[in-house]
Amino acid sequence: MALAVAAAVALCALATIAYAGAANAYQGGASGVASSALPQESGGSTPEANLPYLFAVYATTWAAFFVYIFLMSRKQRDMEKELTALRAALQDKNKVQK
Amino acid sequence: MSQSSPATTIDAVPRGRFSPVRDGLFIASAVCMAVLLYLVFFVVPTDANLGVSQRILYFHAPVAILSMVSIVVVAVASGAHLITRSAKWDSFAYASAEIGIILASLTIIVGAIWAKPVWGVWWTWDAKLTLTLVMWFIYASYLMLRAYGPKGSQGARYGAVLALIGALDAPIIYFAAELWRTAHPELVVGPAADSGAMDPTMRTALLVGFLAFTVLYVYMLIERYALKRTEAGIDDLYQHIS
Repeated sequence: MALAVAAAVALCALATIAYAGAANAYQGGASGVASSALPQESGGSTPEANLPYLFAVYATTWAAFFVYIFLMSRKQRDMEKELTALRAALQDKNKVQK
Repeated sequence: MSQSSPATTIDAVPRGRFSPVRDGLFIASAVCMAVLLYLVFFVVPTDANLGVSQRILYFHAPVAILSMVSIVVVAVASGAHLITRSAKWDSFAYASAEIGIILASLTIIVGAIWAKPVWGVWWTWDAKLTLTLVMWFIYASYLMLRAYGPKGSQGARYGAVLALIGALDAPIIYFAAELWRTAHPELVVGPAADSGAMDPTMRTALLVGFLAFTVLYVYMLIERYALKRTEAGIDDLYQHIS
């Protein structure tokens, strides 16, 4: 559970940076001319029009990792409970045998 | 599986306590991710052709490369399992396959989101995209085989063979844009890429992206491997008790 909380906190912190960064990029904060050797954008839309796609990519990626880590954390917790029950069952079995 | 006594087995089952390596990796990945975001949004210049959408590259490329690395890891661990018959290698292969399908899914989803503003379509039957979809099906087949196929060592062996064949897809995906000149851009990362194709700050950001996602991958791999070993230990205990 602590792991899931830590993941959530990390996710929120990263989302805040991304939001601030996206706003910065939108206002031309990290502007300049550079080439990444990738194909030219089609459709003739303004670069800012693609901000929702950028947001969708970052949100999807973090959400996927967060959900996976959360599920692993929950499974770990369930297995610890199962392990405790098994230990108790084993102790009872040993007592009966003695 | 194991011939040890129940008391020995129950002590051998890993416990979910604080681990400096695991928790350190998690913190390191979060820090690397924060640095990556800073670089992507405050340092790296906006691409002249693609505009803001080019910033998707810093997530898309590391995730895509790691999805290919992951299937190679599955194959190597599966090969080691076939040679040694050790259940630990099988657990390692399974853990990597589970993370691999998440990475492959993200590669396809993120790629589709990027394709829409750049190519005007969500999906096209481009060689690289199609081969990545094939890789996703290989991961899905492996996990379905392990879930619904023969149990125990037989299922592990079948899975290992599938992984070894499936891993052949990874280098073909990597070189697909060179082999078939289709919509997907040529290589910008990796040993076969043109080193002068990118702006230096973009390359730095991309390297940080690779570092961030690699650390996260290693963290999740260790975590999932430990969980898989715990599952195996619990199964073993049930056999002892019953």
